[in-house]
Amino acid sequence: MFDIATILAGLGDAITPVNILFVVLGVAVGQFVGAVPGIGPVITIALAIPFTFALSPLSGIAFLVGINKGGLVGGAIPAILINTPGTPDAAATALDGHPLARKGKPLKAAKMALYSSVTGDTFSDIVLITVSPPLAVIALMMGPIEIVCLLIFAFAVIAGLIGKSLAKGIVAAALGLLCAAIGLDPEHSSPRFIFGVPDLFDGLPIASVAIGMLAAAEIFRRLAARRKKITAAIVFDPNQPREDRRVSWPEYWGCRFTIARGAVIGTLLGAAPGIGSTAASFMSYASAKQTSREPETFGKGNIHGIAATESANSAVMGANMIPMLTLGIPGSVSAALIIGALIIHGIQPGPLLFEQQARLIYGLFGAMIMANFCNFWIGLIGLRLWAFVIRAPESAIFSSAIALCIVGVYLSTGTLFGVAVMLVFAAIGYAMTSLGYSVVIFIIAFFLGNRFELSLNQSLTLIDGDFSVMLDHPVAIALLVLAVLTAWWLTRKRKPAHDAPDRAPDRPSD
Amino acid sequence: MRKLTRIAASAAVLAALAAAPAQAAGWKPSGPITLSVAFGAGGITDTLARLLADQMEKDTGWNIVVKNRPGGGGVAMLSGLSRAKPDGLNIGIAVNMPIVMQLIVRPAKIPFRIKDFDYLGTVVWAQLAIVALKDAPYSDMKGLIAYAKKSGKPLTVAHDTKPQAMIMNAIARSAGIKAKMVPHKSGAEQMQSLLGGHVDLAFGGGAHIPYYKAGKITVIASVNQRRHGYAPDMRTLIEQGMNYYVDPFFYISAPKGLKPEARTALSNAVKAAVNSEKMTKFLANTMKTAPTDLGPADTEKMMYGTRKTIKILLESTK
Repeated sequence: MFDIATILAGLGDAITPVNILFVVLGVAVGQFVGAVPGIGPVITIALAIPFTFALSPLSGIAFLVGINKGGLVGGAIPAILINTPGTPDAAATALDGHPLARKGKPLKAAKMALYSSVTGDTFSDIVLITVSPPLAVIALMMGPIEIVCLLIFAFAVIAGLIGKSLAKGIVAAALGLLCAAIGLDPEHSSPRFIFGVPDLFDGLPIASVAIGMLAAAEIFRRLAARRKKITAAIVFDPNQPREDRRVSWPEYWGCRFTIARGAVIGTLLGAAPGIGSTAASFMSYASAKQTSREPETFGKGNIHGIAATESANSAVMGANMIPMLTLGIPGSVSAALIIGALIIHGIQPGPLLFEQQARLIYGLFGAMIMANFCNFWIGLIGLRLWAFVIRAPESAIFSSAIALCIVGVYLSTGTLFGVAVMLVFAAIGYAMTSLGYSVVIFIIAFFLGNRFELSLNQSLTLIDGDFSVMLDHPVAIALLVLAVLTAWWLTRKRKPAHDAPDRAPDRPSD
Repeated sequence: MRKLTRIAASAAVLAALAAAPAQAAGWKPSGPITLSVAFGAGGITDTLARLLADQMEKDTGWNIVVKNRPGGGGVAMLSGLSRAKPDGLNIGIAVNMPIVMQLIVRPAKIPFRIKDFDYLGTVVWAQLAIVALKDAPYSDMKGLIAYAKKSGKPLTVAHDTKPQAMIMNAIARSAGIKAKMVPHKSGAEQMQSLLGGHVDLAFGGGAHIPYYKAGKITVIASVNQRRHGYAPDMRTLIEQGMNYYVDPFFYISAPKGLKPEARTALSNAVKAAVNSEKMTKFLANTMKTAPTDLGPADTEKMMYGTRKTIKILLESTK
């Protein structure tokens, strides 16, 4: 399509000392804020955009992309080490990452997360670079009706995570959808469930709910369970044998199918905007568990569980750029912020981008690949630091973590109201976990609720009571059939695994 | 109103040239200024806000933080803004049409009124177009209506604000055709639905221009009082015999009760940033239009004028 000279010139533009510096800086900042519960890459990108005005477009965008990529890797670290995901994307990583860490192998778990994350990310970047224009079709194919069916399919797959009690899973999902309904309705903008509180016009702030339920609730639970003796958050022998500290090649290679499946799931969901990386990682996790020969080891520190989630959530990032660059449709909040930054730098995403700015875009691709390498090396160096931090007494770690949650939520919502919502949801999360309701199911339903409602609303308008319209939407029908098959298959599979101690994903791990 | 706008625009340019060095002589913010955006990150309002904040920071040395408060077409942001302290540290950017619409349709549910704000200026008026795919069997309103009558099927129309839906409903009613209004969250999402063939028509507030230039879509009508710079051959709805229009303005306001010197300093800073080279270039590149700052007094007049326009629109769709 383009002459090779443009591509090489673009890639060459990427490899300048200044760009390398900003990619490294972006990844380092991203990993740090991702690892600190409560802050996360989205708010960091929003804060960093003004700083990029002083940079050249390529350095500026490369910096932002670096933060985004670093954040995804960083989010896994607290999820694994203290069971409090730094970003919602990493919630699924805690399912197996944390049990493995508690077995005294935190470095192994974190390295597996790092390797699969970088692998998934690189895969989707390669897809982005090579077949971006054809894949843009996916985003166009996904109209309202298809999105509704895709979401139903996602719900069906994730239902595989519900745990022992179907009823409790459904209750958790319904609660999540109910909370998502708070705020203005998508069609007529009439306020719902706001009880006279104008702050709720926007709905519950996502950052508050996610951090409250996933991070703050877990911190409260750990503090409440604490005995008098103050111990380190994770006890592990720094002189443990080498194989417990690293991921060997055979172990990594053994996960190749899991990682590949995660990367493909992440790439496809990333190319269809609106579903997001949290759902992708749970779908990947559920399918890894279902296809595993030993599903009962999932949730107890199976490295396949880590590989599945991290490869999927990182693969979403690269693929998100496909609808973003080719159509100007953001697939996530951070993608939306990056679009804003592109436009400010005079780059208009859309159908003409590759013709008008090919060299810049290939420069950006070069920077993305560079960011993946940086993620790998900075991740390895960073792990030493985190492994050191984690040996501090629990009291120090959890009290600083809760302070960071409060600061982070205040930063991203901009109001103390956001902090109050976080604390309320920490209490709700604590109660739900104690009673055996899955917080994870709640969060996914809450995340997808708004999108589901809007798409359902649009679909019902389009269908208008005449279901023969559906015949024009073969993709939607295929997705519905898949959803039914998955639900049937999962309920059939559930029975034999029943007597195995099926640990709910977010049940106390000790 | 058109004449007024033009006069105001030329006055704005002159004022900007004269006022730029004399910025903020009497007033300094006591901390960082928060510029709240009525829509989510990544959209056109958000981009304008970030450009504006950047330029204002450069011109004045103030610290300006951009914050997105999407919801209700701006009702959520303005609800918060109306309750903030009028200390000059809280300003917001919104679009007049959806706000005024909400104020007229459900006044009891909206915790603020037009008079609850001090108006600082406008950035630009948005060009709103009704667009269809290039290979659609119609290229103007007449052809569209004839096609809809012949096929007998309802037209599916993407929109992202209430006035858009009302205009289309009014047209459908008077022409005796059926239209299904499909709500969307942004112009980009409307384009996605249109290009994917999921709807017949969409409203474009800027997101459609690259597709128009790429030859993928056609503009059926301009919904403003004027034709659009990027497609000067495309007639307005009024020119096509349908007396409906909207003129969406991106405007800046603050809670009522600013000290006069703060109001002057802020509106001067807005004016200088709106007419800056960067903003002019950006608007020329993306929206194919020029910055338009009405200034504090005319922005307020514009808000009340919008109320009149929408009341007329409501009457005709009753």
